[in-house]
Amino acid sequence: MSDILVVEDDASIAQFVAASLSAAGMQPRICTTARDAEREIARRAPQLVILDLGLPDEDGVSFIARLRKTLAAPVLVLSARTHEAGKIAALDAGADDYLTKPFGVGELLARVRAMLRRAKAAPQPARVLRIGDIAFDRESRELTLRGEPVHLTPIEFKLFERLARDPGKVLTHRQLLADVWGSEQVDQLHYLRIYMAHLRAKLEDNPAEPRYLATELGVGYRLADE
Amino acid sequence: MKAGPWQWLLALVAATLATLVCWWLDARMSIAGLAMVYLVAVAATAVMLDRAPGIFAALLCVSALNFFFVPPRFTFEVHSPEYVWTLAVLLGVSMLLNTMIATLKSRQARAEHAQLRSAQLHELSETLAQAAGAQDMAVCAVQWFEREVGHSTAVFLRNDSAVGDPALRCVTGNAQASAFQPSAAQWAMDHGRRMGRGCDDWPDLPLWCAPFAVRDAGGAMQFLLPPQHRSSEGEQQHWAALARQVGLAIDRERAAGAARTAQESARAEAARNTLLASLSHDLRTPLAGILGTASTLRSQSDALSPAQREQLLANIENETRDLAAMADNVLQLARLSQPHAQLRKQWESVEEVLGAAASRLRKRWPDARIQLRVTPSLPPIYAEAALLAQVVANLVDNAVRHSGDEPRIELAAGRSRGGVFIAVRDHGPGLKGVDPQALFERYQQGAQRDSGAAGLGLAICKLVIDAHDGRIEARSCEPGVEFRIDLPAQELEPAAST
Repeated sequence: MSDILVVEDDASIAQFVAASLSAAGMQPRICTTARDAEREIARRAPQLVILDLGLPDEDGVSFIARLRKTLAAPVLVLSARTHEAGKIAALDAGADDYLTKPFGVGELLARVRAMLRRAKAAPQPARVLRIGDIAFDRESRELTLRGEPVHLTPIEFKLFERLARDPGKVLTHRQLLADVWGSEQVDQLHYLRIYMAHLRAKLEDNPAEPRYLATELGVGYRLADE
Repeated sequence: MKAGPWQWLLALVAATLATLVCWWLDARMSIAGLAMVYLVAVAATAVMLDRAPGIFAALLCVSALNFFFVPPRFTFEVHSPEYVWTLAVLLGVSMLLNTMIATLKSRQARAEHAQLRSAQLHELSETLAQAAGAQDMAVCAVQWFEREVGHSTAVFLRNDSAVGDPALRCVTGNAQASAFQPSAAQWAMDHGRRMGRGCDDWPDLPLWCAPFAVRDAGGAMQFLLPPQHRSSEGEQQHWAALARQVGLAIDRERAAGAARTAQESARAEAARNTLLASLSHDLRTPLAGILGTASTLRSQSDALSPAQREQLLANIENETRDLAAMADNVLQLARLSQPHAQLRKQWESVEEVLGAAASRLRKRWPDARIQLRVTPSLPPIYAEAALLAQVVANLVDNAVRHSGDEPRIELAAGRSRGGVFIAVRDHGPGLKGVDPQALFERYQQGAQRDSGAAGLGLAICKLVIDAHDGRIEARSCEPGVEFRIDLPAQELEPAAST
């Protein structure tokens, strides 16, 4: 059974999250403060952390940054609509995915299952990444679409390769720019947009409604992993 | 005023002239007659000259009459009491004349001075009346003083706006602001009296300073005075009066400004109240549905068929989703209604914004057919992506609500003149005579077309598009309605390396 730590100070959300996780066959533990959460993690490391960004005793972003030093388990942040900037900061600080309140149980369970699945696969990523009609051989660095090789320019390749390193995970604009173009280019958002458009033109049937290279509006991109 | 040497010379000339005339008349007139000639000279000098040369002339005349004509002649001796009397009267009348004329002259000078000053006061207030705003008035006053009074001038204004600023704002003309002393202005304002050179307080300072008012002065005037400058009490009083005049004008302007601000905030307050009233009405409708449905499910669950229960639960979910969308709109309304709303704009791709919005909306409206058509490689727009997506969501929500059972929505984007357009088209019953512009004008429960939160949603659309320097309009199609957004775009240079 998956051990999941829910850190949420709002009782009714904590209850609903815990209830739906239990019903889905997982084992939730509930904390209401960052301090309790640290104690629980020290007691037994969970497989996944669901963390509300508006905790009463500590700023969620600094808490994640601190957690990341010792904890490898994925972190899903819950953010209010009023804290758009906070969720980007949380992702930059090391969170793996986010949900904006209010959310339904369907969205929650889909995220949690995908994150658990990725965490399980993480130590030994398969040599060939297959998503739909795309196959990416990590070692020979070959990308094929329906068996046909796709030719990418060096930057397009770097961008795709970065997304493929964490399939399914949200990567912020800043993270992608820093990893592909270098840390001094993190404000050149239009580079990213242009190359993302090129990639989509080569990989997607309908670039306006991408199947593989998903847009996280105002946040970043993710490579769909199923 | 100090008499010039020519006045003393004139006094001498007048006495000499009178003596020459008397010399010529000597045989034909008595001493009394000659005294009259001298009296004419005295009167003439008293009128023409200053007081001291006048008195000098009078003394010269009396002495000349005595020396040249009163026997024994060519001595200052006087033997006859009659001549003593004549000389005494001449002297007395001369002095009296001089004094009276001098008094008259000084009165006239004072009157002229007073007239000049009141004319100056009047001119100053006329000048100030042409300026608008306290700052402009201060600048205007400084220029006027430097022109009319001739000293470098500063006007200090009390700063009551921002907390972080210095207490006094200094307005200067030709001279640097650093030449003036805010501390002196503050002292004058605190004590309500003038200070500096020529005053009882701080006479060693190289400046002169007067507050706008004795109590609660809103500012002060300051002149830089050159070291040799001595100003009379009257002049200082005049300056102080001018300073008061400036103060009055600025106070009046400030009061008018405050009244305007109060009026504006009252209007904003009224608008907010209307908004809150409409909001609470719109909130009540879905809340009543949710509360009723939830309580039905709780108390009558056993009596309901599984299908009914499922339907009721779905209703709760839908109503709540509407409420959440409304909450998003209210949040943005509050943010964008602020006078200086800060948008998190970035270079965005319309294609991505529409793609993300469409996939979210298909989840929200599973029964609606939402088609997306985007022209490839549109120029980027400078926008806040989340806000733009919210606009699209509001328009689609609106379209779905007005499209009956099988909503068909077309979402399109393409190039327009000078930018990018986004269009949302439905195939519903259309506007039914509602003025397309009035849809966005205000958040109000419109007549037939509005259901739920549509009024609020369209008001947000307008606010967001305005904040992006774009345009939004609605027009009737056959069938349905098209909402079209035009946004300005810029071509960016392509990324540096490939």
